[in-house]
Amino acid sequence: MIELESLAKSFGAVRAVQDVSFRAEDGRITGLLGPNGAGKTTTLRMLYTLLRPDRGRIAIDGVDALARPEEARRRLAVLPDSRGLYKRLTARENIEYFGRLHGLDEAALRERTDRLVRELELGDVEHRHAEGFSQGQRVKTAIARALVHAPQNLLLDEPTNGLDVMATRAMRALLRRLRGEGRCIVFSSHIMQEVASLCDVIVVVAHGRVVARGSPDEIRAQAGESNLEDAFVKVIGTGEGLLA
Amino acid sequence: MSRRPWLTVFVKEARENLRDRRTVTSALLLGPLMFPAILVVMLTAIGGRIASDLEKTLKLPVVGAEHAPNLVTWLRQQSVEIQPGPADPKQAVMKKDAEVVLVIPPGYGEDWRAGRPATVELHYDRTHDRAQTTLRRVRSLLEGYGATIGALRLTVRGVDPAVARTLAIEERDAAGVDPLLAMLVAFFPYGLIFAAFFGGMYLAIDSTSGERERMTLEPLLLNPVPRAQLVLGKLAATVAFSTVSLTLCVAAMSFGLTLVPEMPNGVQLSLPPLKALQILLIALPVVLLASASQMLIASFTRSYREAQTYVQFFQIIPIVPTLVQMLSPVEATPATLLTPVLSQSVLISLVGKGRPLELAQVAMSWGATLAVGMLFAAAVVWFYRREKIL
Repeated sequence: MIELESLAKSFGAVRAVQDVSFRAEDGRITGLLGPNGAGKTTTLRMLYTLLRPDRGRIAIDGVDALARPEEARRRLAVLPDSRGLYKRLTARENIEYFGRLHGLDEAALRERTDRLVRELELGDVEHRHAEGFSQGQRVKTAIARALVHAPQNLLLDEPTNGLDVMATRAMRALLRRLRGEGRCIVFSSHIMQEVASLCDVIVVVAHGRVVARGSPDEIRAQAGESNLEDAFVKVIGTGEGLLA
Repeated sequence: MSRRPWLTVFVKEARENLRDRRTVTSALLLGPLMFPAILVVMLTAIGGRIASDLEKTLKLPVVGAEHAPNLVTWLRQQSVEIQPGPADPKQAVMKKDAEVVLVIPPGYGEDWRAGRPATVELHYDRTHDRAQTTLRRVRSLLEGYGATIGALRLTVRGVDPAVARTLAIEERDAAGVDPLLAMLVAFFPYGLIFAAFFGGMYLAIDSTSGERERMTLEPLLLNPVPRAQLVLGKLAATVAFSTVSLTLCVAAMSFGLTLVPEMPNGVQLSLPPLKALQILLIALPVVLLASASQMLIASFTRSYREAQTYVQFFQIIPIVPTLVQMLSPVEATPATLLTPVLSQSVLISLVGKGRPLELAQVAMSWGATLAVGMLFAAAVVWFYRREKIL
């Protein structure tokens, strides 16, 4: 479970995040929706402890992420915006490297990697150098690398960015399966349809603030619109940037 | 218990970079072998030149040959080609028309018959480098003739010639043999430092700005590992490559010099294993300095290319102490021994000259160089702890 309270972060004069609070429950997919530049990536970076908020509180499974960032990171799988691979390592070596950095012993590492390779259908690239992987193979390897320590919580920054239709479908199926396992999943997107089809809870962010929060139905009701897209436009205050 | 994180990073960086042809070539071939190869080729060439000077027929212009027919005959027997002397011997050697001119004055015969030292004059130009070999040969021939006749005179008078020889001098001239040779020897410490810098260069860049450019830095920083451990692992891998390069360079130098034929004038450059080991130990702390400074520079840059430009430029700086030393010899004072790179240069030339080393001198050099290296390493850790790293 992930809880945020009144997060704020400025870069010089730019107030990227002004006031963001929400709670993401286990067994749910929580979508962070907002136009480009709304503060989604900054919020996620604070969540996975890469940026330190100017103000606010973050708890991952009850662990204070500001006081114990390493402990918090152990409970997180993250697919950040930059998802490069080591090109002279094979897919398996890429996954194993991060597993070792998480402190897995060799037996657990082998078992986890075997399982991820099977589940994510990475068998045909397992022993190939990452140089020349397709976008889909790259993202799948990056996800396997993030999941190698079997954490309870997942953070994904625009996970379907740059993926083709098949890879996007596979990604959605994976997220649903992980939800079925009772994990807490938070992902950001600027694509309304994606958020609407996947998420149990939507947090709409604009100008560094949470402007709406709830299930798709609740957001429709909140905005007094019967159409979800109209509801988004209304809570954000402008239609700009929502076009995928 | 699983591995320490820095060791995981070290193994991964080493493995990944061993698969990169450019890194391996620079660490195992270019960096360590370039200078020894140049040295061997140049030494062989210099040796060949001296040998041909020695073997070519000695041509000697003689003024007043008629005053000493026996001497001239003896010289001819020693395969000297006697040429008619110039009108003005001084002008001839100054204008380099002749390397050496032998002048036999008219009083030679009279002195000779009276048993007095008979004077002969040698005209030469001390600043004319190539004439030096000829001068040495002529002088040793004349001395040989004088000694032979002297011994004969003593024998005729019933005295053992050995009585007159109070000293037996054998000359071994090592200094100032050849300006080119001296320069090569002076560049020796830089050759080692170059190997240390070049060996880890690509790894230092690849594991810092390369990591950022490939977009792997952010995922890496998300692991529950202190950033100091990440830096330590990368630094250790760079140091390892740099150490291999430096060791190979010293070994190649030691082996390469055995391939160089002995100089015909008796000069033999060599680096026996024990001396090579001493030199390696003296130069070793430079690998930390080189690795940490390269990582620091590469960390600040935005792209691999930019990093390469700056790091390569920075690599030229360690040549400064070598140049300073070539202009005026630097003594082993506390100030020079506490200056990284310069101290290695000073100590290595001491070893080269066969002087004994004091432990305190080596300790000062080690201490100062490691301290500066660790300062750079600490700066890299500081840099990696900043939020702005991405």
